[in-house]
Parts: sequence; structure tokens; C-alpha cells
Amino acid sequence: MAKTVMTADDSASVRQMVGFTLRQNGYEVVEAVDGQDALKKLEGTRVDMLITDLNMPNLDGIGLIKGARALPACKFMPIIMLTTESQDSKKSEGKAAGATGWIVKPFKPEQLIAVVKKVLG
Amino acid sequence: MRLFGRKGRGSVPETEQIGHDICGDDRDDRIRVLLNDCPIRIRRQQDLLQQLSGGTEGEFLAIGSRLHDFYSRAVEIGQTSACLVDEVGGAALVESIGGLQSLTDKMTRLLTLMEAEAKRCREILQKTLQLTARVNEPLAGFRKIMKVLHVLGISTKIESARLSQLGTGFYSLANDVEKLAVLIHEKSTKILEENGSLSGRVNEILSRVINNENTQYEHVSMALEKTYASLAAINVLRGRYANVAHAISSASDMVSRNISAVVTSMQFHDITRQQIEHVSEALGYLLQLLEGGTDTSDEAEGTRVVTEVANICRLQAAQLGHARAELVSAVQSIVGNLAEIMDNQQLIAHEASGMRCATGSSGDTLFTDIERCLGIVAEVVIDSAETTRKLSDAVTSVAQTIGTISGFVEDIENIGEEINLIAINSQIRAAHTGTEGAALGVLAEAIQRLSVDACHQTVAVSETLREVSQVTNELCNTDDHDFMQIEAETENLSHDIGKLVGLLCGMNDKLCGNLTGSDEAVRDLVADIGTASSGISIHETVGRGIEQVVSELDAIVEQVREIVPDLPAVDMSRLHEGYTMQSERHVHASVAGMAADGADSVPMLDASIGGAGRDELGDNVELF
Repeated sequence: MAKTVMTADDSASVRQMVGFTLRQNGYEVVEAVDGQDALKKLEGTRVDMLITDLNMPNLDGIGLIKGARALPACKFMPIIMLTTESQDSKKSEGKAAGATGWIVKPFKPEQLIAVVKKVLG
Repeated sequence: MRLFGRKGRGSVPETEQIGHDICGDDRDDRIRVLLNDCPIRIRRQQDLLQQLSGGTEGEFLAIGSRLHDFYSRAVEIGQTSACLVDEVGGAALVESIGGLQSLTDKMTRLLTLMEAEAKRCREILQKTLQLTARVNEPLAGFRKIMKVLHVLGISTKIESARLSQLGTGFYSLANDVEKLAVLIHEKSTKILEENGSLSGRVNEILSRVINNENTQYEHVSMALEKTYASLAAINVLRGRYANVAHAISSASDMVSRNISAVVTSMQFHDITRQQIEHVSEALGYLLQLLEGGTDTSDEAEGTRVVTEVANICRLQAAQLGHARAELVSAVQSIVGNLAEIMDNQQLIAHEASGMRCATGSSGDTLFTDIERCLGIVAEVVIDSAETTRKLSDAVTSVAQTIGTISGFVEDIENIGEEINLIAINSQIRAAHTGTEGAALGVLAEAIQRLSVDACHQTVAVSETLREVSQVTNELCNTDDHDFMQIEAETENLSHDIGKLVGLLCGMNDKLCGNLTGSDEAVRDLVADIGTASSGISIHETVGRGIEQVVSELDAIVEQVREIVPDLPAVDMSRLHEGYTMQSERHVHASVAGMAADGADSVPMLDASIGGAGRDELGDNVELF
């Protein structure tokens, strides 16, 4: 059965490219337009992995990670931050919140797939 | 959305050095005017940037929505082409072409066999003709014998009349001699006739054999040459299989790389949007600074503020220039990669179409050429086998004729013996007659010599006829069954060739059909990608907008330079915090004269957890 990956990003074009890359490689993709939308969907959908942006309206990536980790189903779910930000302080913040990894945009499709495969096992 | 730290007037970065090149009131006025105009001018640029940042997504989404379609179609074309090429190099086709080669070789072997047989027949028939000509030579001797016999008969009659009572017995002897002359004449005439007819028949067969050799075999040799050339051409095509397969595979890989590059470049929409937003936020900070109210009566304070305005504008112009360059480069990359996908698709289609086995404008395939050529060969082989088989019938009739001629020769031989007996009888009678019959004795001796001559001539004819028989027997010894087998084998070969060619044509038709379908798919894809690419103009629109903003920011900087010619650097470290992207921080560092901070090296957050290093996944990836 195909694994399901959620992509949370307020940029429709980034969601489109993440979705395209994952679908081309046989993953199911659930899209969320911001952290709040993502959290809501995580409560009702079985998701194997979350790829989230950092800066989003309503609820940002750090808030989303914290919210997701509070959900029993997402406690150990791999969460990758996909953002333009590369500051150490932000990475530390993401890691402290429960992020599994950090990818600085732009990503290469093969790179994203390698990360997804690695963290999903 | 990250906002730059908002600061009140009191927290404005300190000016490091203030110029004093313009004196007094004029500078105060100019500072006042500038500070008065700047908020409106900057707000206008901020509005424009907000428009630019919000207006680019539609075009990127439109390209992105087609990307999946383009990729799927490109992959399908690549797979179809690879399958087609695999079929060309596949076991079924290889086996069939091998079979065709083997059948062609068998046909060649049969043809060689029939060519050799035709040559043998020709040589035998030519020898037979020479021999039949020799049969006529002794017949001239018979004519001479006839004449002499006739004369001797008359002389005997005269001598017999002269001797009257004594020569009575010689009269009947003279009649016998004349009768024998007539008989020899009859038999030799028949021999001549039969021999003429024999030569005619042999000539007829020989003409057919020579005709086969001269025309059909030459024609058939050309057909065979063409067949082998076609087979060689097919093998060359098959030999290209590996190269074509490699080229298609490389082109398909290239498509994947192009798509990957497009996906990467597409993200620059979001990156550029954020960069523009960061500039917009910086301009917002500038507006706050300007709208906070500057004491324009304080020259030092006014100079300090305009200096900071100029420095911030200079930095934002550089950030925008960088953002513009990244966006233009990304869009060019998208367009370039889409163009490469088009080129690769065309290359795949071109390489795959090279595997077609069609020749010429008639659309005939190499396979149908082979079938046609081998058809000609088969026809000639069958015709030759039939000719050879029929040759033995003809030779049987030749043998019968020889038998008839031999019968006549035997008759003449018997006549010769009779002449001899008559001569001996005449000599005895002449001896009884005494001296009176001496002349008759001479005639009897002459008659006897003729019998010896006749004997010699008949021996010569018989000898020639025996040679003819021997030679023609070589043809009779040919086993008809062999040629019937050759005919049957050739027919079977033709049937097998037809079947195999049908199979190969079917494969080729399928290949050509699929290639045509593939060509159409490539054409459609190339047209669609072309349409999508040609519609991409966002980089130009955004580029122009950014240039407009940059130009206005530069104008502000120039105006400040007129007031403060040696524009001093100001501390913009607070602005630095607002730049979340490494590239932005680089621009900031270079413009503000700062060293790039530690984030530029993107260190691992926790080296001890760094199981999946960025070496493995890339510089921009860290797994915690």
C-alpha cells in the first residue's frame, strides 16, 4: 500500500511541486494550505509523513509540529521542515519542536525522494 | 511571514560618518524635500512590490499543472520507443531473420546445384552436337561406294554380254550389285535424315539450357545479390539496436533530469516572492523611520536619517536585483529545460524511426524485397529442375534415334558382307571362265575392295554413334527423382520464405504503426510544450516591475549622494536579521560590508546526531 505524505505550505506552487515529485514516485499526497489546515487534516487522515513549510499564516510550521506531536497518531511520524530559512536558530527551534529533518528550498526532486525514503524506511 | 524588527526613531542605526559637502540652507532644504517626498515614493514602490509578489503564482501554477502531463507523456514515449527497439533486437525477430538467412542460403545452394547441372548438360549437348556432325562424314564414303557399285554393275553387265554364254552368271551378279547400291543409298539417306533430326532436337535442348544460363541465372544472381544486400541492411539496422537503445535510454534519462530541473526552478516563484516580501518589509521599516518624524531643523539628524534611507534603499535595490536575477534564471531554466524535453522527444522519435525496415519511397520493406527476390530465384530453380528433368525425356528420344541409325548402319554392314560374298562368288566364276573371264575377275576384286570400304565406313559411323550413345547416356543416368526433389524442396522453401517474410512484415508493420503513433505523440507533446513555454512571460513582467522599483530606489540613493557625496555606511545589522535566506544574507553582507554570518556555512545542528549527513542527501538537507 502506498504511503501517504502530507505537504503543508501556503504556496500553492510549492505544494504542487512537492505533490508532483511524491506522486511520480508512488506516494499518496495530502495537501494543506497552512498549519491550521494541516492539523485539522491530520486528525482525520492517516498520514505517514509530514513535510511542512516554516512560515505560514494562521499556524506556522513550528506550531504545526507541536500540535502534531500532541496527536497520538503523529507522535512518531517523521516531520520534515521544507523552508527557505537556513538559520541555525530556526533549525534548533524546529528540532526542539520535534522535526525529524530540515530541507532548505529549493529542493531537487531526487533529494526529496531520498529523504522521504530514508525517514519512512 | 517574517517582519523586520520595527524600531522607533531612537533605535535607528548610528551613522558612522556624515558628509558636509553642501553648505547650509540649501542642504537643509534638500533634506527636507527628500524626507517629505520619500514616504510617498517608497510607499508607491512597496505597493508595486506587493502586486508583484501576489501576481506571479498563476503562471507558475499553470506550468506546474502541465508538468505532470508532460512528464507522463514523455515517459510513455520513452517507454514505447524502448519497447519498439527491444522488439527489433528481440529474440523473435532475431530468430526470424536468422531463419530467412538460412532459407536464402538453402535457396542459393539449390541454385548453385542447378547452375552446375545446367553447365554439365550444356557441355554434354555441345559434345553430342559435335559427334552428330561426325556421323555425316562416313556417309560421303557411302555415296562414293554407291557410285562405284553402279559403275561396276554396268561394267559387269557389259563384260557379261561380251562373254555371251560364258558370262551368263555375271549378269545376275551385276543386278545384285546395283540393287545393293540402291540399298546403300536408301539406308545412308535415312541415316542422314535421322541424324539431322537428332541434331535439331539436341540443338533445341541446348538452346534452352544456354538461354537459362545466359538470362535467368544472370537475373537470378542479381536477385540473390539484392537479397543478401537486404539481409545485410537488416543486420546493420539490428546492429544499430544497441546504440539506438542507449540513445533512447539517455534521452529518457535526460527528460527526467529536465523535469527535475524544472521542479527545482519552479520553487523560485516562492523564493522570489519571499525575497520581494522581505524587501517590502524593509521598505515598511523605512516608512516607519520616515513617518516617525525627523527634526529637520537639526542638520545632523536630517543628514543621519537620509544617510540611513540611502543605505537601506541601496541594500533593497541589491536584494531586488538578486531576486530578479534568480527569478529570470529560474524561468530561463524552466523554458530551457522544457525546450530540451522537446528536443529529446524528437531525438527519441528520430532514433526509433531509424529502426524501420522500409526502403525507398514506395514504402516497400526490406522484407518484401527479399520475398520478391527469392521468388525470382525459386522460379528459376524450379524451371531449371524441370528443364533438367525433361532433358532426360529428350535424351531418351535421342537414344531411340541413335538406335534407328544404328539399325541402318547394321543394314549397310550386312550389305557390305553381301557385297563381299558376291565379290568372292564373282572371283570364283571368273576363275572358271579362264582367261576369257580375266576382266570379270578384276571387276570382282574391285567389288570386294568396295565391301571392305563399306565395312570401314560403317565401323566409323558405328564408332561415332557409340560415342554419342555414351555421351547422351550421361544425361540419361541423371536421376529424375533428384530433380523432382529439388523442385519440391524449392517449393517448400518458397512457402517457408513467404511465411517468414509475412511474419517479419507483420512485425515491421506493427513497428511502423507504433512508430507512427509514437511520432504523433511526440508531435503533440512538442506542440503542447511549445505552447506552454511560449506563454511564459512572468519573468519579464516581474523583471520590469522590479527594475522600476530598483530605479526609484537608486534615484533616492543618488539624491542622497548629492546631499552627502561620500555616503557613509550605516549599521544595518538589524536588517540582517530579517533575511531568512542564505542568499539574501550574502547580498546583505556584500552591500553592508559585513562578513557573512555562521549560517552561511549551514552547519549541522547536532553533529552527534548527524547520521544522515548532507554529503549523502545534499548540502541543503539535514536529518536530526
